[in-house]
Amino acid sequence: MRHWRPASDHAPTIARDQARSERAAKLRAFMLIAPLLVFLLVVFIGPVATLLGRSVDDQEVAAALPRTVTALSDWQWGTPVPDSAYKALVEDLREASTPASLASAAGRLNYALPGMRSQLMTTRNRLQRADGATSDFKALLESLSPKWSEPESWAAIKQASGPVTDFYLLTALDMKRGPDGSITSLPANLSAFVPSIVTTFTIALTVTILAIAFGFPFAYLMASASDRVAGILMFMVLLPFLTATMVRILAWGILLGREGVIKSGLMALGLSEPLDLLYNRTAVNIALLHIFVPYMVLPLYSVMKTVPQAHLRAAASLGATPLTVFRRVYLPQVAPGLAAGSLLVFIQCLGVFVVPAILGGAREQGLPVLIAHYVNKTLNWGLAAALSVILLVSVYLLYWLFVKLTKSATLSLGAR
Amino acid sequence: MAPIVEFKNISKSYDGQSFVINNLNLDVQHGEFLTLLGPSGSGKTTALMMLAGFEAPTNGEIFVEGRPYSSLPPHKRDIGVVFQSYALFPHMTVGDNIAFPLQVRGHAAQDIGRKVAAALDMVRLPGVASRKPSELSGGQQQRVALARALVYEPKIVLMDEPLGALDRQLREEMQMEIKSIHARVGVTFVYVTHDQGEALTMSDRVAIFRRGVIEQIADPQTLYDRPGNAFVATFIGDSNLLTGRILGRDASRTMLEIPGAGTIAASAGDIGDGNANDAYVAIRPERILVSRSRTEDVGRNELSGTIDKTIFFGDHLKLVIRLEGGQLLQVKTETAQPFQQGQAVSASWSPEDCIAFTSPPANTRDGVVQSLKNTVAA
Repeated sequence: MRHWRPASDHAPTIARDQARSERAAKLRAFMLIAPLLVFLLVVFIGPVATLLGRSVDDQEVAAALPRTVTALSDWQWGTPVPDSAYKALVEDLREASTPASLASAAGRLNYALPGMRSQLMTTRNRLQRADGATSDFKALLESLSPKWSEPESWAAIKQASGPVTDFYLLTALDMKRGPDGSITSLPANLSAFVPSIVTTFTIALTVTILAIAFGFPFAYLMASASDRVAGILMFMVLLPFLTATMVRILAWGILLGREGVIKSGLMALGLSEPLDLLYNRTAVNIALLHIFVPYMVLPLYSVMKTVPQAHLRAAASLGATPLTVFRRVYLPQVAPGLAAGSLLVFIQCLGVFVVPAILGGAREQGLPVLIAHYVNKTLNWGLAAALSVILLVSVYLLYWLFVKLTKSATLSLGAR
Repeated sequence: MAPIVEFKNISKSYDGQSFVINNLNLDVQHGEFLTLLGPSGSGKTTALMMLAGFEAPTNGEIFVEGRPYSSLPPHKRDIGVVFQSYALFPHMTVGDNIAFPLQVRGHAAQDIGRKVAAALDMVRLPGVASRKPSELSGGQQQRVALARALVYEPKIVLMDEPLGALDRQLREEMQMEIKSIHARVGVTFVYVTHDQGEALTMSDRVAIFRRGVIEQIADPQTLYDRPGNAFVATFIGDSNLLTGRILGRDASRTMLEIPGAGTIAASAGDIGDGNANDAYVAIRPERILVSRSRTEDVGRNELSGTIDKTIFFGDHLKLVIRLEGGQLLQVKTETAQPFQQGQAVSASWSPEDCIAFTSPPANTRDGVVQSLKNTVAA
C-alpha cells in the first residue's frame, strides 16, 4: 500500500524554520537579561563566592613555612615527629627575614593553638641571632622554645597546612579538631558562637511569628476594605519606609527608655514595678517588628487580593463553618504570600546588625554583630566568613525545607 | 403543598435611602425550576444572595420550609450555590472540590468516593476527579461546580448566572444539560439570569424583576403570550409597541385609535377601569401578516404602510413597515417574501395577538422614588 504524502518534502524545512525561530527567540530573551546577569555576577554572586571561599581558605602557613608543611605531610599523630621537620622549620624560620613575613601564619596558628604566635616569633628571633652551625635541629629548637617538644605544636602546623580547612567552620559551630584530627565539641562554658546562633534564630523566629500575628489581620483588613480605605492603610504601611531606619531605632530607644513615654505611662497607670524595656529582648523584638512588618503585609495583601469572595461564599454554602472556610479554602490560597512574607522577615532579621547593637543588651548580640567584630576588630576574615556561611546555609536550608513541606516552589511576592 | 421558600415583605437597602429590593413577596414551590429574570441592577441577584445567606434583608423575613431563615448563617442553610465564576477551589483537585461538602458534613470516606464518582457521572464528566480545575474548560468547570452543589443533596440549588461566561453554543448545550439534571434529581432550582432566552427555555416559572420589584411571575408561555404590562411585553422576546388613544372598552376588548393609521381592537392588559386615555399596544412581530393589498377581513386589525427596510437573518426576514402616521412596525416573515423597500403594504393581525397597556414600558424615576417613600413610611 502506497501513501502519497505531498507535504513530506516540506515538513523538515518547516520544522527547521521553526527550530531556528525558537532559537532566535531564546537568544533574544537571553540578550534582554544579559546586562542584569552580568551585573549580578559582578556585584553579588562574585563577592559572595569570594567571601565564602575565605571561610575555607588556608594558605598562610603553607606560604610562610613551605618546607615544614612538606616535611609534615606524611607524619601521623602518635608517631614521633620526623627529624626532617625540625630541620625544615629551622630553615623556614631562618628564611623569614622580617617578623612581618611570619605574622599572618603566626596569627593563623595562634587561632588554633593559643601561644603559638609568641612561640613561633620567639623561635625565629632567637634563630636569627644564633649561629647556624648545628646538625641537631631538634635539640636546637627545643632549647629555643621548650614547646617544640610537644607534638601538639606540630599537629597545629600540620592541620593548618592548607590549602583548604574546616577550622573556621568548626570554630563557628563551637567545635575543634584535636591534635589527632578527631572533632570534638567545646564544653558549654567555653562555647562562644552557638549561643549567638541560637539568639539570632530565636529573635528572627519570634519577630516572624509576631509579624504574622500583626500583619495577617491588617493585610486581611486592607484586602477586604474599599479602595479608599485600602489606600489609607497602604500609606500607613509604607510610612515607616519614608523614615530612616536609624531615626526609627533611636526613636524606639527614647520611647522605651528609662525616662520614656511608655514607661512613665505604665507607671502612671499604677504599675508600681517599673518594667525594663530597653537593652533587652523585648526592645529588640518590638523594633524589629516595627521595621519588618511591612515585608509581611505587602506580599500577604497582594495574594489576599486575588482570592475571590465567591470562593469563601461557595465554601460556606457547601456547609463549611467559618473556621473550616479559613483553614481549608482561604489559608491554602494565601499560603504563598504568607510564606513569602515569613521568609522575607525571617531572613532580614537574621542579618540585622544595628537594632540589637543599639537597643539590645549583651544577650541580644547575634551573628551579624559577631561577624562585624571579626571583620572590624580582629581582622579574622576566615572566621567572619565561616559565620556568614552558617547564616547563608541555614537560610537556604530553611527555604529547601519550606519547599519540601509545601511541595511547591511558588513563592509569591506579587503576581501569581 | 406549602411552598419551600417564602419571601415575606422583603426589602433590602444598603444606604437606608434607595432600595435594591422593595417589599418583595415570592413563593418558590417544591421541585420547581424558578428563574429570576431582569436587567442588571434589578435586584434579582440580591434576592438570591439573601436566600443563600450572604446578605441580610433590611426588612421582612425569608422562610424555608416554614422556618425563618434570615438570621441563619450560610453554612447551616443546606442550600447549594453555583456561581458565575464557578468558584472552584484552585488548590484542590476536581474530586476534592466535590468531596468538600461531604467532608465538612462528616460523611464516611468510602461513601464520599462513591458519591463523588456518581456526581461526576451525572454531569457527564467521568474520570476527571484527579485533575485540577484549571485544567478543565469553562463548560467543564461549570459542570463540576454543579456536581459540587448537588452532591450533598441540598434542599435547594441556587444558580447565579452560571452560564454567563460561556460562549453561545456551549451555553445552549449547558441549558439543556441543567434542565435534564433538574428533571432527574427533582431538587428545587432557583436560577438567576439576565438572558430571557435562557429563562424561557429552562424554567417552570419566571419572575421578572425590575428595580427591586417583581413585574410578573408566570410560566414562560404565559409571559410570552399574556405579558402583564408593557415592560414585560418588551423585555420578553421582541414586541412592537404602538402608542394610541383609547376610544372605548368593554369586558374583553379595548378599541384604540392609532394616530394617522386607523382604529384597532386589542385585548386588555393592565388597562383596568381607569380613565387614562393614552395606551401602548404590544404586538409580536411573528403574529403580523403582510400583504400587498388590504384583506378587508373584519375580524382582524389592519393598518396600511410602506416597507421601510428589509433585513435578512438567514432563517427569517425582518420587515420594518412605516405605518401611516409615522410609527414603525417590525414584522418577522419567511425569507421568500417578494417585498421591496418603498412598497405600499397592509399589515394585519388578530385582536387576540395584541394587548393594550396604560403603564409605560419604563417607569419614570419619580414613580420609583414615590414608591420608595411609601415603603419607608410603612
